[in-house]
Amino acid sequence: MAAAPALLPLAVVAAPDPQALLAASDAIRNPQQPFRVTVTLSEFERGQQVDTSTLQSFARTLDASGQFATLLRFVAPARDAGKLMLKAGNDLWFYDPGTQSSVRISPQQRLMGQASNGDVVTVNFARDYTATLVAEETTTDGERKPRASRKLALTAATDGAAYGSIELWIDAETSAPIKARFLSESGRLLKTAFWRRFQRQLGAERPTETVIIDGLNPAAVTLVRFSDFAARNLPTGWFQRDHLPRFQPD
Amino acid sequence: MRQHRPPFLSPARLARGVALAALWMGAGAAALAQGAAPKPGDPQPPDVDPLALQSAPEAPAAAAPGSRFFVEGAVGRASQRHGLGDDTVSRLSLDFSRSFRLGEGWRARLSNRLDVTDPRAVGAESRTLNSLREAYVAWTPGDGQLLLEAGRINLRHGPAYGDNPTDFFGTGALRSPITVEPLQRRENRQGTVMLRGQWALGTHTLALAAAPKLDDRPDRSAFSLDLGSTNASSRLLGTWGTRWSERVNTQLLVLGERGQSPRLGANATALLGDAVVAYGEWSRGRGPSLATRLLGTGAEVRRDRIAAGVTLALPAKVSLTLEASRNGFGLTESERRAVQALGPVAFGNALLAAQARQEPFGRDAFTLYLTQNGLVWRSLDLIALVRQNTTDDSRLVWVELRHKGAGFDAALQWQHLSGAAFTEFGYPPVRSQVQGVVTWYF
Repeated sequence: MAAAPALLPLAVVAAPDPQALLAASDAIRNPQQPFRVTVTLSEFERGQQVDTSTLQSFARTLDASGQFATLLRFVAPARDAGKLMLKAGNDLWFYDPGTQSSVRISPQQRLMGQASNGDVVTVNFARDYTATLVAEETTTDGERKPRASRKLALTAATDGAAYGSIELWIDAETSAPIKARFLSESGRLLKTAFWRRFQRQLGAERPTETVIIDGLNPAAVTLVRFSDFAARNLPTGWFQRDHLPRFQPD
Repeated sequence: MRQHRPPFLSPARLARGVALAALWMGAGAAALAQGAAPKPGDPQPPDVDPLALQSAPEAPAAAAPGSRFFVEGAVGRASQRHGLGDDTVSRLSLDFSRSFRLGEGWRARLSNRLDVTDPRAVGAESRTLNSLREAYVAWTPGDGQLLLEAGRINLRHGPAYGDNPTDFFGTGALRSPITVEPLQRRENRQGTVMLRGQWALGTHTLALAAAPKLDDRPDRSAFSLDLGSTNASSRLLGTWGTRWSERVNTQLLVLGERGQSPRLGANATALLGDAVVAYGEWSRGRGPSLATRLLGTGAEVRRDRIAAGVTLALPAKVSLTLEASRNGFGLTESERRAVQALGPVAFGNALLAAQARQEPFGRDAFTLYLTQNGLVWRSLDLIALVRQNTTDDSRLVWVELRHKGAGFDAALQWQHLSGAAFTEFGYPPVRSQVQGVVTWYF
């Protein structure tokens, strides 16, 4: 007769590490290898589409610390074609091929333009923010479906953080990003984002559309669509001011 | 007796300027708020669910990335000094830029601009002026750390707006000065024929550019390559750029020119806060000053050029840049009077000489540069420039309102030059000018 199995101790359910959850969420939005993605921004005012712009985003981590760098190239409209915006933490540069001018811009200047919406997706939060798990709750996602989620409170941890704090809801099982509220240092709501239309891209289910609602003017909405994900060889030298006039990835 | 005018930066003027700026920004912000908020009596728009919005199908990109082509037309009215009366001014420009991929690691770039102006540009032989801005071939091995380029390259350095002491290849580069706005002027620069190499080494970038002498004198004929303006002497430029941190970048430059003493330069930019960027440029060289050139003394002096400023990001999408500069080779007040004593032709030649060298005319200057996106409505942008020669107390004001439409821009530009008769902005024939500009993008 077999011995009765010993009562196994209850598995100790380790509390999830909020920072690990945040990193997992980042990895779903951003491929871990250097990559390129086409970003199309459609701006709406009170339900009417008022503008469209297209960017190409080239992104990679720069060093062992995991600092994420993004180089945005404007493709459309034609008046902006060829312009570049480089973001590596607080190292922010705008380049206009017409004037051959590389201009350092401040984080506030960057938030004035649509490019700041363009990289709400391609920015890594885990390096610049400290995460705290505040709730496990059901929330409505970008397709109006209820989702079991974990709510993380992110507070700026480095100078490179563009926002004072972020409230981020991620899927309770997969850590996929669902929605977020981006706040200034004073706690003012700057924008709300919903991630949706997940598709298999570069080895993972990734959001291919983000709805961004302006916190100051809720009638202003931007649809950010991502397409043409591709792994690319992106030398670190491309992500420096001195290379901007020579940037030519094609 | 000439009435004494207070210096530009007197406390009274500064206070009035700040009050006006505050009133104006408040009006702009109020207009924005009014535009955004529904007014009493307005029909309420139906509730729009942002999650139900669908974007229109994308139109294919009209041109390959890295290419740009536009046609620009301008017409206006100029009020002139010296009894010349009013005149109609007009311009047609064709602007083309394209980068080409020639093969693995190889690319080429072509950039050209054709201006047809009426009246013709000062010093030009005809109303038509073509500027081949860039035509070069580049090669980059696979790792992207090394870059080699050969041909006509528009190499520009320096973060300042009104004056660029470290822009060593700027001399003679401006062939068609159709505007006084400093950033728009850079669009019309001719490149310099050179062989250039650039190495990226971590947070450092080293570059070496060798530009040969190809001609002796400028050629202002319509379709000339004008190599005498950009390659009038043999030059070698070494540059060392460093990214010290996310907030600080610097460049060190050394220029060697045949027959001249070496020139040193440095520039830096720094992020001081979430809304403040500071920058500075400095260069030192030895050569004749503007005064010694004009007065024929031929004496060489060692002088500095400095420009420093800050750019502030303000509410209502306003960026404000304040910049002060000193050109050690520019005219002091006594030197200006000495040139004035030579007569109006000599004074006009002095202004043209400074413009050709893209150097400030006077010893000291102050620049205010303001941009606002979405003035009153989202597609309307404002640019305003004030350039004050604080040595001769003359001033240039330039304002543009630009509407960005679907495939085109429409702009209204106004400029006014003021000052005593023989001053930088008091002497040019055009006192004020209003013009409309339309740009079609393809």
